[in-house]
Amino acid sequence: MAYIMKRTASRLITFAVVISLLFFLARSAGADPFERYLSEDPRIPLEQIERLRARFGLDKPLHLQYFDFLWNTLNGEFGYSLYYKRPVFDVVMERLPYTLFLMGISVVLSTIVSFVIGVYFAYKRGTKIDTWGTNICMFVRSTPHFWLGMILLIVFAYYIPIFPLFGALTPGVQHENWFEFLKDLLFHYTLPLTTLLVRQIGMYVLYMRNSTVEVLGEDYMVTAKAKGVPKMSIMFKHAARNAMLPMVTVTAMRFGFMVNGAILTETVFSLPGTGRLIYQSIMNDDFFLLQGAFFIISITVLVANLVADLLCAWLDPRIKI
Amino acid sequence: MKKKVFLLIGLILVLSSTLPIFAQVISPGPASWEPDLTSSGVAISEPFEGYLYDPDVIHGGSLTVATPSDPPELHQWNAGATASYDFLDIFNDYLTRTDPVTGAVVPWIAESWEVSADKLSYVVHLAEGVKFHDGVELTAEDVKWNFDFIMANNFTRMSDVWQILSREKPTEIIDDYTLRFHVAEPYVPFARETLGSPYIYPKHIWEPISEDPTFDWLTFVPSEDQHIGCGPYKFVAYVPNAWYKFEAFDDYWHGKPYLDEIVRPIITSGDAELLAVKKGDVDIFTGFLPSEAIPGLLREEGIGLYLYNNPYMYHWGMNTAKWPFSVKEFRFALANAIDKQDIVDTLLLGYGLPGTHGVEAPFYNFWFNPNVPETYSFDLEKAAEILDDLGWVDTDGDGIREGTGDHAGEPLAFDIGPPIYDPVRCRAAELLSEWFAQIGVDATVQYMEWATLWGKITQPLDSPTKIDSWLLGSSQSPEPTWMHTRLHSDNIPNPNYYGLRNAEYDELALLQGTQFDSSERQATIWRMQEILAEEVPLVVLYFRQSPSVYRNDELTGWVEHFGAGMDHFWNYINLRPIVELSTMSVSVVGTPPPECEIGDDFTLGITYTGPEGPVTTASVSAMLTGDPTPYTLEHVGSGTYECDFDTTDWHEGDYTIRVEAKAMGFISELTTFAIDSVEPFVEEPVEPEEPGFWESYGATVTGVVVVLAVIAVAAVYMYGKKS
Amino acid sequence: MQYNQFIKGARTFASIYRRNKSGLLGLALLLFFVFTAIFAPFLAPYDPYKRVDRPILPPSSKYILGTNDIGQDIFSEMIYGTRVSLSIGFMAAFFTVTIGTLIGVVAGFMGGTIDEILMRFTDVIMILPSIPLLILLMALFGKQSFMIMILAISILGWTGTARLVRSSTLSIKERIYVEAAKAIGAGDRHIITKHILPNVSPLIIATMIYQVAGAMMSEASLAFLGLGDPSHKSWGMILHYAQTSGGWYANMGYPAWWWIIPPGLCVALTVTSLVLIGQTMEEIINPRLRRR
Repeated sequence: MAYIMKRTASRLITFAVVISLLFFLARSAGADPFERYLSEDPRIPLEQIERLRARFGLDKPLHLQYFDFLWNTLNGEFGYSLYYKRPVFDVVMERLPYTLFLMGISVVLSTIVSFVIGVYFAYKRGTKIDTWGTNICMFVRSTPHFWLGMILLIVFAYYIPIFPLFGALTPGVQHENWFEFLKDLLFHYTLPLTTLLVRQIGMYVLYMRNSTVEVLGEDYMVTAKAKGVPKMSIMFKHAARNAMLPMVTVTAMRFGFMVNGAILTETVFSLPGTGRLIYQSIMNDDFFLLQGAFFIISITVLVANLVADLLCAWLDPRIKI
Repeated sequence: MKKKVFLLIGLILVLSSTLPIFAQVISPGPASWEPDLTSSGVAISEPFEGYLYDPDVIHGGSLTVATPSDPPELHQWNAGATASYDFLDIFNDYLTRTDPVTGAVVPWIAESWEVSADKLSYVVHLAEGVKFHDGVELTAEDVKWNFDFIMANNFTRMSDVWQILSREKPTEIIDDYTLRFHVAEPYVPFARETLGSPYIYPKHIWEPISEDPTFDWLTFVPSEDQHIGCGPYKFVAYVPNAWYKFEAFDDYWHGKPYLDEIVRPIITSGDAELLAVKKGDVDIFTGFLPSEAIPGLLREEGIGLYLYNNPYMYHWGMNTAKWPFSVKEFRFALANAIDKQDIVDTLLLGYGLPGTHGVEAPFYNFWFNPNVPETYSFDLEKAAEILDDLGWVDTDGDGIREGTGDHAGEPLAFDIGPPIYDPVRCRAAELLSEWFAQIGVDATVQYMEWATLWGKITQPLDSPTKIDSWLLGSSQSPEPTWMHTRLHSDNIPNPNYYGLRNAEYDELALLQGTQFDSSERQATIWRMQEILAEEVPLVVLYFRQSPSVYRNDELTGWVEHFGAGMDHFWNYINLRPIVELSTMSVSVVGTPPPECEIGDDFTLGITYTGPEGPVTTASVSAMLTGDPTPYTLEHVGSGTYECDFDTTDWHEGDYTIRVEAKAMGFISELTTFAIDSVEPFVEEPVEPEEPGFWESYGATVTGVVVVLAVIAVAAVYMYGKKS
Repeated sequence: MQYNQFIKGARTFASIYRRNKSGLLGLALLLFFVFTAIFAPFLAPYDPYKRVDRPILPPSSKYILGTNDIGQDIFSEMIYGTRVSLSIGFMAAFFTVTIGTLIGVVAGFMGGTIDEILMRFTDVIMILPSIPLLILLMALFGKQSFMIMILAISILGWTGTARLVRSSTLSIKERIYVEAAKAIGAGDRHIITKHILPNVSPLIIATMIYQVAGAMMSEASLAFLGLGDPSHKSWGMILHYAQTSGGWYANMGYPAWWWIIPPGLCVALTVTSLVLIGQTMEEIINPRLRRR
């Protein structure tokens, strides 16, 4: 327990530092969003702009703005989005479920599928299946997300119109019950999920295979083999369980990368989501939304990471909870 | 080697209410705008027949238009984003509107108005029987409340109201359908800009909201039952991140709209949106369409294309306070080194108009001065000569000229800043730099993030961080007041970033704002353009012609707006479903020759029996297979006519001729002919220095082969050693 | 002695490497791309920055991959793109690995609080999504250029290297000869340069190979989002222009495949080759992975 507590605490502290950096970065990078009003209608007097800036606290010196930001964040107040003119929390929460849906399903599916394939390749190591399989995986994991997504989109939504071209839900359709809703949602998420899955499976299969091969070389495995334990049992009961460990760690470390994947995938498939929101808030100079969205998604990633840590500790007898 | 070619000719009889699509593409004539010369300073037009409500039209159908994002704001007091207006425009209505074809002011809910002799008060008469979606009637009270509310809050986007109306007593009710407005100072575009600025919101809903002490207009979010307006459609549902939907309002004062509903899905990716239009999921493409996409779309079934003049002037602006731009002759020299037509032809594929000397867009016919002297034209020699005359020659032999006097030895070097997000402006900056280099001027292209560039443009003139010159797209409106705001010396450095100071120009800019007589005002505006052509504080490079793509196989009644795509209010109320197509006959007399030579003429006689009713127009065009450029031959009217094909401009190849007729409620069968080959009359001289395959790729192929061979040998060697 | 040791190490390395088929394949692919990059001016039939013909021509014997939106030869663009993409990859990887090694060695060697602080920081940067941070960093510089992109990628990319180098430093620190060197009074600097760095260098090279792949991927993603440098045509930029200038419908309303497929494929192939090499090197460094 102390181990987990310590990890969490130190992580939160560093996270606070990073978020603070982000604050200053966002402030110095973006132009003043209210300048845009001026550029569109130059007749608006400066006092009007000043009043608007005062409303959002942008007239204060930077260090005061920073303390405000820290205090508000501690209180769970993320301020108002300059673009949406609504509380940042509401705006993010409207989109977070979509991103979690996309990321959650792809993590679970890719972990399961690559677990099986990875162990299989390890079992068949050195054969043609393994060589070809790993090479294909390597190629697949090397394709750019957006390129893969675009090609899937054009082939399976345009030339062979099986799947929809855009969005998370069919426009204009009010769903009668949650089942219909889910069906519609899954239908729209097939291609985006495929895009993410294909790449992730490619990646995880390699990790899984390698760590299984590594475990197979351990002394106790050799002993088990010598004892005449059945092959399948060796693979899945002994080897795979121990090989899971690095795999889970890797998955935990890759949540951040998955947000990257989400941004690109959401862009290609016109999906709502937090990844896309972060990108847009940068483009709109929407500091508060950027900070808030980044904070919330990072907390989510940290929590996921923590869960993975716990899982690791549970799997690994060497660490005591 | 004998080449095989097909020829495509489409004969399209376009519906009565739309213009020939091909005509638009081939001769993109400026949308004309010639208002009446009335004494109100702006032209007023009655809504023409097309927009008058026709109860005989069969109602039905649904319009699906994409929007690029969720509407960030849901009411007009804080609205700013285009996506918000996409939402609000469907269910709200204005007092006055702008005519989509002529650009004149259209009296709308405000049926008529009179101005007092001192031009300080207006009596406005409202239409009777205007209803909000909850059944309450719109009266002068509602209008007064809206304008007073704006006066009390000075909403950022409504400066046209609170800067114009008198502070003491902005509005006054005369009776239920009549109000008096008081303006602080005479304001020429009052009817369009002030009356037409806010949507009329229902007082009975918004007054209680606004009187709540916690009400804050900037952050207020209306609930679903507060989306009540007096517009043609009423709110049905909004699913955040996915879509929103409106349905026809039965009691709309101008008559129930013909369409049953409007659905707006949120599509963030432009590529997906275009594919959706091609697939038929979406009716109007609202995103940005590159010119390259046009030829392919033209031959797509069921897709209409309207080219509109985009009212943005894309220009090269410079800081005229900084040497060498402070020297007028230098500005002229550079202006002479810019080939605007080349920019339009290569970067916009011809879908654009070269910039004017007098800055004003040529398609705003009434305000555009056609007699502005052409003070410069593309002539690199002349440009170099001007610089030579200044004594600015290359003294140190580095290929770049140096200044004289105070700036002796200083090279003529500066930066051009295009915004990174616009590939056309980036490429245009590269072209400018290329031309300037040829006259010994060193222009460095600095690709910049929009926010950074904008910050650098709006700096004071003497600021060291101000950029030397930049490529900007600024909007021009049908109202020429922008010539005052953008270039008056009081507005340095923003929005007069150029630092233009011209006493006569300043004087005229103020004068035009007081001229209620259109022809007097026109004369002032025209003179201002001449001054700009003499001063050259900015060089307008091009006006874009943007394609608007829409599906014309399910809906009809498309209204072509002079400065906008197909997604606008007039289409919301004028679109109607296409119902039951009857067959009409087309017969073709004669066949084209099976083979011909370029330069040959031949004639086809085409007869079609059109439906009774409105006159149908048609166009004949030819396209070469494998070549995206369509070749339009001629335009013809309805009835029987002879169609002469002159093949002088044709290219070598195989062609197919396609004859099809369409009219309101009618469609013909498809007739096709083939010309097996069109051969050039005179053998074109083959370019002698044409690199053949081996000349071009010999090195590549050899390189690849050598590398692969080395690797193979190495691999074989290593394996051999191992075993 | 150091030199001989190095030669010996390299020999062993090569002898193991050449037994690995996929490693050789990766090397061959990479060599092919590097060759193309180096000899780009000789290989490209046209100048990729000059307009040579009408825009959007389909592939022909004159233009193997047709022409782009303003009439430049796409094949030549691809060849020059190899240069830009590889340089971004290698330069970013170089900076990334330098920063990562520095931090890793310092953390591993110093230990204690410094180690703790650096590693927590590394952890968090590693967990945070990098694309938003990259975009922010690029926006901070305001101007889009080749070097700034490399800088931004390096600033955010060092975390993996730092962790690996740190753990490897920790284990080397414990070895007897290092202890011995310490005992005879060798300075920190001596231990780091003479013992630790030479020993972690194979690892550094292996991670660097992965970093090249990662940087190329980041570059392509940024270019896709419209944040590339237009004056340097990388594969990502070619794809970006294909996307913004109508590559999806330029071919008579159909996708101009010759404009869209090659850049993505080249990125994928190069990254694959790098991963193959990296994998092989990893197997050599960590012999337990070797196939038996």
